[in-house]
Amino acid sequence: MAARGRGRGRGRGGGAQFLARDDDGNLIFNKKQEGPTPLFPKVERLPDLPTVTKRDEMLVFRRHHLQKAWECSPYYIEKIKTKTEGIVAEIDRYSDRYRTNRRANRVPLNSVLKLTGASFPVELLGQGRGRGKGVLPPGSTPWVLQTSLAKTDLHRLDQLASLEQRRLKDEEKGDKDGEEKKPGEGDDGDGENEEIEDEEDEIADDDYAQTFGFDDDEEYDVDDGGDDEGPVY
Amino acid sequence: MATAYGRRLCCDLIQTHFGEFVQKVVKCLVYRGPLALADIARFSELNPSTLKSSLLVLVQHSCVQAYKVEHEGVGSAPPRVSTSYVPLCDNILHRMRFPKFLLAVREDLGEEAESLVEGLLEHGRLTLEQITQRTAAKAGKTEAEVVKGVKETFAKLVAARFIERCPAAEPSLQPKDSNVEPPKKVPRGAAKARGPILSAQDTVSEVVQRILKAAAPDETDRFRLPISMAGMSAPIVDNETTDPSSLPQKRKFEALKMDSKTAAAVDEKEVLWRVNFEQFLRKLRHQTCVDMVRTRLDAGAAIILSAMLQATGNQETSARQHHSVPLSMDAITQAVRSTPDGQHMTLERIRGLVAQLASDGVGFLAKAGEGGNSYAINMHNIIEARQRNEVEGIVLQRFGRECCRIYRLLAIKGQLEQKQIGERAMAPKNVKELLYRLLKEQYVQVQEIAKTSEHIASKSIYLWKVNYRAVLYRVLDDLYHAATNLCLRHAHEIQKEQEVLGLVDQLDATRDAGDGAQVSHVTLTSAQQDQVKRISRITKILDASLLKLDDAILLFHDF
Repeated sequence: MAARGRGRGRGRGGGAQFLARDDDGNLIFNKKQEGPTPLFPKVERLPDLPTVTKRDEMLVFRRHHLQKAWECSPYYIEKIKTKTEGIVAEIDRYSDRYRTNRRANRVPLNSVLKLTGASFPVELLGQGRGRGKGVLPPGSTPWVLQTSLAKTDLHRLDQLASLEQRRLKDEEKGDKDGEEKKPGEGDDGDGENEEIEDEEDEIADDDYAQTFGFDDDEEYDVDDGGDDEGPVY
Repeated sequence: MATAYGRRLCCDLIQTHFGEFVQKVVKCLVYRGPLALADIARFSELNPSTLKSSLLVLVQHSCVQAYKVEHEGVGSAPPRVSTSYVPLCDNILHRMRFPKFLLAVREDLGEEAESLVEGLLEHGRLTLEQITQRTAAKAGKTEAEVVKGVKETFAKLVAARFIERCPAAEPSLQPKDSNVEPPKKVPRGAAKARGPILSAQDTVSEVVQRILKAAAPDETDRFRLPISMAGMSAPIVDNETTDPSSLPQKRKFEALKMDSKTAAAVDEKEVLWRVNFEQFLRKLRHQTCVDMVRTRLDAGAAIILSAMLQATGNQETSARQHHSVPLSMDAITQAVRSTPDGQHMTLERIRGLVAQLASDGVGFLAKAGEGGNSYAINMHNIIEARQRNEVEGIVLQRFGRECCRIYRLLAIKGQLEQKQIGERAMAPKNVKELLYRLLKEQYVQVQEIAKTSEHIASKSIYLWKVNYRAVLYRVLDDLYHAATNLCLRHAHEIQKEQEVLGLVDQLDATRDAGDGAQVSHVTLTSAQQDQVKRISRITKILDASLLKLDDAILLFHDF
């Protein structure tokens, strides 16, 4: 039985389309394709680990600081994941209580930018101004968020220093604090949800405006008519 | 000259700094070249408001420059003006080295200057008023309290050329300048040797240079302090919005009489300032030169060079200056004696070191002036020597000692046959294998010289050679590749530990909320603590490696 099966397979192999089949005639897929290739395969000869000097540490600290500032700044433009669908949005989860929402209080872009023709191309200035969305709440400045962030960073570091003395365990958390935070955590700010919806409305409007006044068909008809009439004499 | 991986790195950097949408815009521009707003919208498939915000962010951070192109009218239609956007890849890559800029300014001008520059790096462009507001908010004081200190630091930074006025938003370019580049007349041989990719890259960067030149304010205007700080003796009253040359004489006079207070307020509130990357690059370049001389010669020579660089640095006009301004022997002595390290050097020692630096084998100083009394620093030579050292180091590390010997032989001798190479490089047996390994990675090239028209291999001569320009391009691309990989690995490691990082975030949140009762809600197990420790170590090493790699990228790309 098995021998016959194999024979059939070979016969087909000669054809234009070769499909590998097992004894029962089912298709066999190449085993290598089953999983993705490893992202970071083992390197056989690794170079020595770089020595991190004090200067390097200062540089790394500044790098994290800037990175965090940009991530929380109005310049970081992202789509907020909204859970507007069904019941999910209404459920108040216990886990949400302690979720940090780093970007919920992002200040609007045009509160920091000098939106004048001298600083930016005129065609970019249209939006933001007229919408009235970007108006900063009274009594707040775009710098406050920055400072509060910077302060918590320093504050945390101070805390870490003190915790380090008390317990060895907390020191590890402390190291982490200096590290980069992943973008994509805690994205569900209420204030921004509205904005997203508004933006979507805008697209719809704009798309309509763009395709409006596009009268290909009409012209085509006119031409057609002309051609038809041509040969009649 | 951004290589394939250079472009990718640009996109990665923007993604981590400003998010996915801005990255999409940059990707369009970097891969497709200058585009108009409608085209970017089409290619990036973003909605208009997000696209505009993204472009605003990119312009604000000097990653993109807009320019106007005038199109000739067809038939009876009037000529129309459209705006296009061009990516500034160099500026995007500079974002990697901001920490270095901060440390550099801290070493020169102190902490206040650093914090001011940090503000400008965070926000891209700020007015003096905004800078003051930011400083006040950070220090928790009122603006009136900090304004004096800020202005002093600001003036120092402008004097040191670390910050500058922003370029024009939309400079106009003539049609022939922008898109249609007339093909340059290059001798045939040269064009062949450089290859098509390099010349294509050059024309794009030429266009970018022309646009930047059109946008930049003229030298005197670029580092002019705001009126309120320059004093009332400033010769011209600022009138940003009107072109003074087009005004009739009478109106000019009236403008001069404008209320000085209003003018000062306008200058503080409207004029944007940004970090002058060029000056920082110059500083880093000088440091590299001094380091090179220290390793090649000795510490004494390094002191002389750094003193000379300090004395001539202000007169450099471009970031990649070949030669410095010549200095006489007296001026050199004076400059060296004014530095703390060189104040006890005797005249003979200084003369000896200068002669050593200027000797034929070294060539770091060039004799200039009448009678050869003055010396100019040949920075180009120093940087090139450093680059050669690096390339040889890379070949040595990647391919081993014998390959390095072959590479150096070819670099010195030019074209050689395989047999000659085997004899001279003392590797006659496996020379073929070694050469093919180098060829595979494009460090050497082979040229066939056929004796017959049939190109029979046995009757042809094969000459091996090193095309140094191509090797430099290759090395730079490899460096970008490595940097891209480091960024990816960083993101991957963070992604992998997402869960535990989330916990740490929650811990922070509870700690920030108050030291009271809620602290005990989240705790880390010992395994999780190990994880946190591990990830923090990994990210630190990856970051430090990236910053070190960036030194090499600077050497091969920016110096």
